[in-house]
Amino acid sequence: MSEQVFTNCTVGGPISVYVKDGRIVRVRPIVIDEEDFKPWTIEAKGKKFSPPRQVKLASYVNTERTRVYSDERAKYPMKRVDFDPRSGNRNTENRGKSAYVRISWDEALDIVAAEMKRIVQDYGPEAITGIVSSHHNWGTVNYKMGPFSRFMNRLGFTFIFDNPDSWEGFHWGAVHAYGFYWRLGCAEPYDLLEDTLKNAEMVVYWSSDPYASWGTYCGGESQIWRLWTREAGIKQVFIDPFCNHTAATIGDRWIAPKVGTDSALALAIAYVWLNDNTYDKEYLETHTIGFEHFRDYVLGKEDNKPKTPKWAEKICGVPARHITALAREWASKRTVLSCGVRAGFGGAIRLAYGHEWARLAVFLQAMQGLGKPGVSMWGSGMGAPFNANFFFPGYADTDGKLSTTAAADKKIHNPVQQRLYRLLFPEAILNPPIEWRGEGFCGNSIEQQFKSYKYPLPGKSEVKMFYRYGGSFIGTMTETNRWVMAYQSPKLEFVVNQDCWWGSETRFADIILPACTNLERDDIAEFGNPGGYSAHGSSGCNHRIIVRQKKCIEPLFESKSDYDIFTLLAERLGFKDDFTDGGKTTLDWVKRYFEISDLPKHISWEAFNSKGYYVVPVPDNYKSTPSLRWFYEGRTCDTPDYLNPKRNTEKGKELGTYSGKIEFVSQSLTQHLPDDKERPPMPRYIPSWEGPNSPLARKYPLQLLSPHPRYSFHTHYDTHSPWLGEIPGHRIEKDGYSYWVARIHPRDAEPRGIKQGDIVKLYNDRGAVLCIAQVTERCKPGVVHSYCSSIKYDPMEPGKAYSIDKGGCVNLLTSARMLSKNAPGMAPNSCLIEINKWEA
Amino acid sequence: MPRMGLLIDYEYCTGCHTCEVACKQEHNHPAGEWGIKVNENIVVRSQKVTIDYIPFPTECCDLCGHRTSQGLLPACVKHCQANCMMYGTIAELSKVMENKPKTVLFAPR
Ligand code: SF4
Ligand code: SF4
Repeated sequence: MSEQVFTNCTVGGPISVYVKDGRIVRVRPIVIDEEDFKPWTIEAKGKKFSPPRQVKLASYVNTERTRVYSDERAKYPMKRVDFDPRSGNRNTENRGKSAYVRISWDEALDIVAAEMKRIVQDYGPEAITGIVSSHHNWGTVNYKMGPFSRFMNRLGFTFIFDNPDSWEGFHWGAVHAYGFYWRLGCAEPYDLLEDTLKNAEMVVYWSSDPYASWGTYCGGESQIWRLWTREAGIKQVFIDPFCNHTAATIGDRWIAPKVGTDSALALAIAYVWLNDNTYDKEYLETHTIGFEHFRDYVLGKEDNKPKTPKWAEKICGVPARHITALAREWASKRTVLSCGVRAGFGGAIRLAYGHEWARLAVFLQAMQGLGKPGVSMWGSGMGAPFNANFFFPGYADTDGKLSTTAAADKKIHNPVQQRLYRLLFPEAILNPPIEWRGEGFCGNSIEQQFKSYKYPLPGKSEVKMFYRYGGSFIGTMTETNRWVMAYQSPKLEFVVNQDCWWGSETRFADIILPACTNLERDDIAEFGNPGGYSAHGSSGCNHRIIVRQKKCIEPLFESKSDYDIFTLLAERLGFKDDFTDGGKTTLDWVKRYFEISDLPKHISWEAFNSKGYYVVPVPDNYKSTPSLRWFYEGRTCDTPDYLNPKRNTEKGKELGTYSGKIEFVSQSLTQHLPDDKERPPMPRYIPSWEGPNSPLARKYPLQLLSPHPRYSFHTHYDTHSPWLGEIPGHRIEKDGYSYWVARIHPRDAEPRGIKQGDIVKLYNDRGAVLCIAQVTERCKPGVVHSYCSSIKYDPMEPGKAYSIDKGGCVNLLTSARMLSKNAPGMAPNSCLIEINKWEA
Repeated sequence: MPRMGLLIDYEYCTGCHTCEVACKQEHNHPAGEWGIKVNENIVVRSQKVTIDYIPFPTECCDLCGHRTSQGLLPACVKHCQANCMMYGTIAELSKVMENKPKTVLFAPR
């Protein structure tokens, strides 16, 4: 048979898949006719900048073929050998240890359906819970908010709130400074690429490494933008305890504060501006409230401690003269502040009191006139010229979700009121009742952050069944030995894991259901567009590309698509018709999504289906509307930020805070939690509960920094793509084992006798992990850098919590403590460890 | 036929390893073999850390003869995230070199 070519899309970009004799032989960036690209041009500083007529994938997507054929695929339905629900022998304590036997699909589905019926009957639907992982697949119909949610909503289940794990501090902090709760605390990104190229003179990347985080879902599309900023003569300064990849490539200066002391550094910068009189007083008067309190605090009138560069030097370890020089340059140049790739995704907000620094970051820009040409908060991973008038739903949009989309005849909502919180799942199982404040993703109102929750609800059952779809949390959540223990609790009578690959949690399931990848089924989706609170996310791509994701090969082994698995289960539970919306096949859904989008106005279904993609052009008369320029100029919001509830109302000139202005003293916090010392109405420098100056540092003197990985996406790809094991920044093989990398400064390595390539043990009271050492000056002394998100959890004694992990899940070591008392975000970068040479 | 080569503008190489993986995918190199390998050079000089990434073609690089004979660019050049690799005759490439601060020229056979 000759070679066939199919279009598809991944979390790191759209691809063309070449298939011969039913096997994938090659994966390339999607092949698009040159004339279908309509590249925009930005003219700035006498130069013209225009993107290539090409798609730039994230590097790991080039391994997609090996990932599909990985040995680590979940191949057949499996049952844990010592799990026998009929006789009541569940042996839950053996989860993580016991072997599995292969069973038929019928047997597996019968067990799952019978257990669901039993549990609902005995305890009520509250006793069922489940949660998905993020981004192992891509596609609107078959992915994250698709079949799993529609099925579980119909069944009724205790929904688990996600925490905004990648941008906690902006969510729990910056919202109270400048609003944007509808973007979970990240500022709107519109047209900031153009504004930066045209008007900025400096970019300060503070805890921001866009070359590692790949514009999140936008592959390598924005890589070239940063080279343009160089060509436009813009100076680039990096503040990070690790000399990150972007700093290494384009940085003019690297400033390395101690981990978790960014707030002190920010306050000292404000001090220099106050002292030098180099801030925008008029703007502060008209656009902000409470500045005088902040000024008094910075100048030390409140606590007799002026926040001078000398004061900050003692805390953050950056010489005072460097702080002063940075502050002076910042004030004299139009400066963009980049706090992470989607404007708020950095490591400095994933640690103790991270909300304080996030608010201070907003304040620094406010002191320089946030919204002024060249003065913005731009992650540098979004904000290309963008056709926002063209509608295509992302998977997290109301119209993208299979339960609520206009593509469905019948919408389905979850009738169960009881809730859980992901970060507290282990406590909920091991030590209920639990309480917390905040709805996880608080994207509909500021008040959601203050809502109190209790689990279990009075008169309702605790959860007894856990339906896990994906399996990454041991590598991504905090203090994850807690998850091992929760999984082994007899209270969880039944655990299902449904995934395409074996992940860190798979081995804790009673029944494993093998799902196929998105190369083995049909779908439709847009490159880089998750929708939801990341509205217009595909402005991180150079071209908006909507892809008809084609089934390239039959599902491998005995895997099935998620939609088919849930259809078969729904049939056994008597609600197949509701689940399938009257018998829709996957392809019927794909067509319906096509129909509710703007695609039919531009291309016929037949043409789209045969071509496999549509490139949405930016109109010829495109008018740029840079982020927050309207606010700066006192106009009503003119950006396409459609989730902004004040836009197009009489309050259109206002921000999303209570006052409509930037709040140095937060009115929302004053109103709801005025006495909170850990997140006071006005932000402060609060020493970390686990940081360089805490007593624990005597026992565990090194600070573990574990940002998002560069060569894999979350836990995806990693060991599922063996090629990545040959990239020395990712894993390194030694004695036949592929170890996760930990970086350490020569000054810390030497007294511990650690040399390049040694196997080392990273440990503290919360666990121990083996890694391979890279000795490098890229770390600040005292800092150990090792990415989070290993997919491999490989304890030396399987099934034993606190056993030493060889796989590289450094999250085992992180603390479960939250950002602060009332801000339930995770703080993995507040983590002290010791490290020594491992001799087996 | 003039000698052909690869010019690498390592001022802009981001060390993303995409060229490496793209080459592997193009040629189906088994584990442990690469057509090109990205190196990291770190120099520490009076408190300043300078890092350069330099991709280096190996023994296995055939300059993508099967692609270039059809008028296509070598796989690594096509996939390079930073557009910092160039394919051409050594004469052409050395001209480009004259105006660039940090480049290397490779001419594998
Ligand atoms: S030219 Fe071809 S063979 Fe040589 S390194 Fe590049 S991709 Fe590999
Ligand atoms: S793809 Fe380009 S930027 Fe990336 S490592 Fe290779 S040469 Fe460098």
